[in-house]
Amino acid sequence: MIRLLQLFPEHLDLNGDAGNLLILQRRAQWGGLSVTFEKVGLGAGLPQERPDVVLIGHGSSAAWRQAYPALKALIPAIEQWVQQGTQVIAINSGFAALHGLLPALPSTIERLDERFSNFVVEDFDGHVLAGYKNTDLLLENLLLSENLIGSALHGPLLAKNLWLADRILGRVVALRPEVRAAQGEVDGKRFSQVAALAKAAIELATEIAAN
Amino acid sequence: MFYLPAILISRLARRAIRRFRPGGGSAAPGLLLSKLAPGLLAKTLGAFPQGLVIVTGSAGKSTTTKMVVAIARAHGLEVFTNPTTANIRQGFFSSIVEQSNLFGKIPGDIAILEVDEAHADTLSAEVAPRLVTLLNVLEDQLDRFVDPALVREKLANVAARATQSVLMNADDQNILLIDAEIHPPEKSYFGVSPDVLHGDDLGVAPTYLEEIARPTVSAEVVSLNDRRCMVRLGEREMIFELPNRGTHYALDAVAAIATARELLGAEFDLELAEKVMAELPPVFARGEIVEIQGKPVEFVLVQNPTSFQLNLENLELPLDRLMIAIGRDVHDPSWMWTVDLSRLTHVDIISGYNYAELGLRLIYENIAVDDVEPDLFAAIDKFMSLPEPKSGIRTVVFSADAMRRLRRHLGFTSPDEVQR
Repeated sequence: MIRLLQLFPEHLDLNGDAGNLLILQRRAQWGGLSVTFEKVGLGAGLPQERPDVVLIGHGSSAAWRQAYPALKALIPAIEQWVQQGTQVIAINSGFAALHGLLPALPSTIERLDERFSNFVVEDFDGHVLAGYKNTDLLLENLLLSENLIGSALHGPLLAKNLWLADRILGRVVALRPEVRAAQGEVDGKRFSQVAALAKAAIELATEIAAN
Repeated sequence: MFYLPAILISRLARRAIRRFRPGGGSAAPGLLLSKLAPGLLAKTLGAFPQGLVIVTGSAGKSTTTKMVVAIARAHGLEVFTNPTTANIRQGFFSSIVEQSNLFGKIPGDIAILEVDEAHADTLSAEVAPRLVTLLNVLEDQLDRFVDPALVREKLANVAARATQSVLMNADDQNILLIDAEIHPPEKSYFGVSPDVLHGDDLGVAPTYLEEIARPTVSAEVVSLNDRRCMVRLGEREMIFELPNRGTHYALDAVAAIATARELLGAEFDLELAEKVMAELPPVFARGEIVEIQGKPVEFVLVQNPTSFQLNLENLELPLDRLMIAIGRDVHDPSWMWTVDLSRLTHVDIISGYNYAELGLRLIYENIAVDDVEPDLFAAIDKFMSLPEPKSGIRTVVFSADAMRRLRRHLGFTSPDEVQR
């Protein structure tokens, strides 16, 4: 069973960031794997079992006033999970919040002169990275370390970046091959449907970003 | 005299565009006038003897404004208002091109306008409004507004400029925060009673702050049974059928009644207002039923996550024949991922400029998408040629841009052209 965990869903899902876990859930299910998708609200305890993927989404400034201290309190547990193989997806302000909390990241972020609000389509290590960015922070469009996926691109990042979604799931399976034990049938139709739509969505994003 | 050449040039541009694009509206003449004579807007809007009323907030502006205008007109006022969805600066200039005389004067006693949140801030800085009605703050258009806190700032600026009074939604904590910040000297509250809301917050943005106590409201929806709505105004009550189903329409209605009463003062005739409310036609493309190729089709307009959600919840299921088209007006389609689509099981056709993101959203929700047709006009033809639905009627859910293009294509009046 693949375990997905969303932190503070009431606070950190401003742009549909939880869609990233939905995408992982469906891609795993279409691939015949079992998945659980758990949500932990502010003040609730973390699950006992180590999740395979944790999502820290984007929130409003008001949401972060409550969410930041709560996230800070969870950092030791999250760090321990990451050492054991949990992958953390941190989106926009969720990614920014980890700066200063995780030693692997710089403790400060520079501010841009002007807010950027548009699609981004660029090359990332031979892959196309595409998504919508709306921030006034000098935040990386994608930081891909062993178990941390940080991105300034908000909302459903993985919808257009299937290579990244499959990298995440691939690492889960590699680390815990037992999740394949009861693998069911693969739903090839759904995979090809979303692959065609993702390609079209990237083309549109490219067109908008260029104008 | 200074504005005369600018108005003439813009009028000529409008006439030329209409020759080449019959039946279709265009933003170009208004844009041209705004460049040639930026000061004209303040002059025109500032010239109404009974001043300017601004209705603003994230959702319900159009419906509320339409209701206030109808009540005011029934009371004998000559009202200037903006066409549905033309609620930004450029849209007002378009209205001037169309309706003003050559000196930029528009006939009428009063201007009652629905104004986009950001544009309301700049517009009210140019012309102080007499009344400001604040509806709500949703997590909407985040590509523009970034954070609900910034929308609150803009609305606070607008409300602070009201010369007579501010009317506020008591059931939105964001609006109560604005109230606490600016302390308008004259104000009143409207709302929907907790018994009617049943804990539904109508999609307002959470403030994540300690709850501000609900103030005493002077106008309140006290019961809602399907479309039958009862509003209490002090000691008196009004009962009427809402033009559309949904608690958010009841909120719009009570906001409109509160605004009209403040506007009309002693002249406000409760029975007359009740009659006006009862006779309002359904709001444009919100549950509107049209006929295409002799077959009935329901049109549902969705403009933001909240209206998508509320309209979905108000759809009568199961929907056998459903087309969804999301157009160019949705700049950042991420918000579609915040809408709970679990009521849907299948969509016959998806279309519109943002069809790909829509399709991704639906399929990852495990909703079957039978056909993907990027071309909107081909999509509607395909949709109409599908067999008759076993239950209900064909339903098209679309964003404003897809709606405009489709209506024009089908020969229906464009909302840009509709004058209230």
